[in-house]
Amino acid sequence: MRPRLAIVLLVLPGAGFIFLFLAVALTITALQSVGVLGFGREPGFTWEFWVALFDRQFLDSFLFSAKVGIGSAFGTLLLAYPLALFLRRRRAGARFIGSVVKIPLFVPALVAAFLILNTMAFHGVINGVLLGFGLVDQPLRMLNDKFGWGVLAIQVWKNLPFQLLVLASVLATIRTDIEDAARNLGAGPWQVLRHIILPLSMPGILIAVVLVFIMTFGDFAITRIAGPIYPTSLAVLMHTKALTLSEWNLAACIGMVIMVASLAFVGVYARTARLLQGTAA
Amino acid sequence: MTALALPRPAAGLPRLSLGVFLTALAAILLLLWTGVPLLMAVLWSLVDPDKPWSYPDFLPPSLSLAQWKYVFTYSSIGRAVATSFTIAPLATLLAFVLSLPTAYALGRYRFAGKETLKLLILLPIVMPGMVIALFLSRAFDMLGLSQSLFGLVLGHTLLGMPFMLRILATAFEAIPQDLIDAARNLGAGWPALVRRVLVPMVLPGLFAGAIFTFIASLEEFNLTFVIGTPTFETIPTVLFGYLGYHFVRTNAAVVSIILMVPSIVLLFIAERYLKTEYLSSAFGKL
Amino acid sequence: MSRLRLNHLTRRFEGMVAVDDLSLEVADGEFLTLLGPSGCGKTTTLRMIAGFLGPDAGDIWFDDRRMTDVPPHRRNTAMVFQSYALFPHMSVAENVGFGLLMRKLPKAESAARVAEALELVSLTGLEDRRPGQLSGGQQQRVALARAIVTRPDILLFDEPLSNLDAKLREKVRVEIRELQRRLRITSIYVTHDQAEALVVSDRIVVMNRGRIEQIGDPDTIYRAPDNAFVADFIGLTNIIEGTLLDDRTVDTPIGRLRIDGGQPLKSTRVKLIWRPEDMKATANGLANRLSGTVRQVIFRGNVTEFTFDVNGHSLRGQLDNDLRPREGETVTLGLDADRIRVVG
Repeated sequence: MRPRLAIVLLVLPGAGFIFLFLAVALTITALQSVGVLGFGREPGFTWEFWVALFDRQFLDSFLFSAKVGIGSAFGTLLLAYPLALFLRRRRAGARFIGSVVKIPLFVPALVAAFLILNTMAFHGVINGVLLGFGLVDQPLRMLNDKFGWGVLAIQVWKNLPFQLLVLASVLATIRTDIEDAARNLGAGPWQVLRHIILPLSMPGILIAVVLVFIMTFGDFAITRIAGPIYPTSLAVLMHTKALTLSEWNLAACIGMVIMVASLAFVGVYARTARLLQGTAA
Repeated sequence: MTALALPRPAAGLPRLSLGVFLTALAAILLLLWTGVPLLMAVLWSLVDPDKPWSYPDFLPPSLSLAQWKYVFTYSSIGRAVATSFTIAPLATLLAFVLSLPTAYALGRYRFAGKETLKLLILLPIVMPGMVIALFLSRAFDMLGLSQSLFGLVLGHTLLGMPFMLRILATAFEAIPQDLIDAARNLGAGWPALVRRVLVPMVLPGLFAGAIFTFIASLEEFNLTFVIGTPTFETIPTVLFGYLGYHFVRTNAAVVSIILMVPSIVLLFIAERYLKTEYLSSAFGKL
Repeated sequence: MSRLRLNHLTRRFEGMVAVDDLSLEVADGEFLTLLGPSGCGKTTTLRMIAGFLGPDAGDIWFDDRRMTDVPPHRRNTAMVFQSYALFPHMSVAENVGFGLLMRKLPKAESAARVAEALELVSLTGLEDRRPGQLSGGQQQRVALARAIVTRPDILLFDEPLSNLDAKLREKVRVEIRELQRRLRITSIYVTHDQAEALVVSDRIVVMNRGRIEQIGDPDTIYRAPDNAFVADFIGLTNIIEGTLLDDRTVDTPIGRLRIDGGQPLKSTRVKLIWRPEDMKATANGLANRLSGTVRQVIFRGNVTEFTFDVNGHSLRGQLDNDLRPREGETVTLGLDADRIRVVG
């Protein structure tokens, strides 16, 4: 049989399964958001849900999710990039550090939430240490706070190894002889970083940041566990509207917003990844 | 001028001090960062209910397995473990069967749109989980798959396939064409080729893919939460119950460990016996 | 411009000695080549001069300044790398000007010097291109321009021509030599290609296993190798072991050979070394006569090389094309006494 056809048939089971389910989910979300699919009401195309969407609650949630997304992405970067730079030069102990850092990768999201929750709790070890050293008089309330520090802490702890892996693999593509050439021509360590390594690792940094943003923007479980009651993340808002208030159409609108935002950033990631492949030094 | 036989540091940096100091510091900080949360979880699961642990005690006053007994007796964890370990192998098997031909095509053929396909395959784990879970549940409702084991297996398969596909595709890609050509050249037909060349070479990848898919299924929360509960509980949903508005620290600690242990064991096996390229393709080199 | 002095440099890697108590002096403006097989320590030595590696023992001096502990970015050397190591995210002009940027030169002066350097390597007009858009030869020139624009004290070359094809290699090596003569920058050149070393160098340092076998100008290295290793490494050689009978005669497996007397020798076991082209088509009037059956004939374009057997020993000969022998023929060649080098 013709090779083209053979390939399509081969690809069908795996890819087909994935696309079928994703397409179904996406379609239902889209249709519900415009009222075409209605559960418990007359179906009919309408924009009323979209109009009703942009209330105070939604905007607050949107900002909250965006803040957590950006905060997680850049907070993790602040820790992961220096670590990746540090681990770049083969040193004694780099392997050990590399292994230790990777441990949170193996910890499921919910467990990570518990672990950090536990540490930051009113009776947790952080408060214990602070009280013990006399740094505070009363334990600090660090969880379920309005800003979302609890959520941020969990996300950073959980995503650090992931970003580190991405950044480390990007940094590895920068040849050492280019660094040597820069040093040879008079560049001290900071200048090598500023003129050579940072510019060349920019696409990789972008990818690392975008990926963590996507993963945290649409989060449900961690925000439900460690986040404030109000405002809450978009995903939690969506879930509440759907299952508690039976406002499925509004929930669908929120779902669309989350999906479109995620897809947009996936697009950014894809473009940048292709760029990276093109300019591999 | 006679040379001194003293060892010399690398030009510009005293060889011992700065580098070693920073490495040690980083190692200690990271050990604390990673280790303390884990240690706390373990300790809390072992707290004796008669001797509560709170400040100013630095460590629990006494350890006991009472919490473990409590969780296993009074919660639904037993059933949840059974459910989790039923769904996971089924989902892994289904994912494997569906992924095999696709991974082969991805690994060994060149065709238009291949790169795009590779990215799109990642969507189930990149797309916001709760959105997919919620609205897929509507479809499941319509099809009568809600609150059913089959529905759960389908859902878990969906979320495990990206791992399975990527790892298997990498494994297939890694088979050097020369080997296949040589086997053909020496007279091997398709059945012999598959049995003696393809399968043995792909076996480690297969194993790795199975491990990652299995773990993904064990840890899956969003979809199970929406379409599984309350009829079916898995370990993550039980854990979530202890973490939400009813924060029961000791129970949560026990269930966390129950959830972590299989993952760590499996990943340890994967890391030790398989090549790290599988780990990279699963996590890092996206 | 600087004089370079290496003083008892030693460097070990994981137990094995890469550079073994190496001492060397290079005059200001001299072009010195480190030549030897892989693993002889030439690149390690170069990297120690650049500062990328620290010696385990010994010192490095530029003029009267002790450079051993100075980090690479403060040594004012410039290296041309084997892989060129051009910065992929910068244009040609930015690449060449990088060293000047690091030295905080004002923009106008930097631009002028960059233009000057590009002209020296005949790359004017390509300022805004990226390295990825250049051919191998052009990239090599950019690397060269980038190195010379900083007017370094010492110029370092790490097998810069190995990635070029043969014809280009020959052309560029001469250009490098001309450029260095014009600029008079002290240069250390590392290569394993002996033909290249003979073309470019003022002096050659033949290295083996971390030690210096011989230092000399190309002519001396070629004509008067100090030992069998050097003789064998440079060009084609005939080496025969023998016993010294008296001041002018050596007994060898291919017969008694007459040599020039007066060379100081430690023992009576000696090695005799001569080049294929030293054997002439006629033996008349020459001290030694060698006869044998021709085995292999290799046409080289301008000359013909061949091997012939004398008493079971294979010798290499070389004659002009119109005199070339045929396979299976018996050939008789003459070898004058003063063409044979005797080493202990």
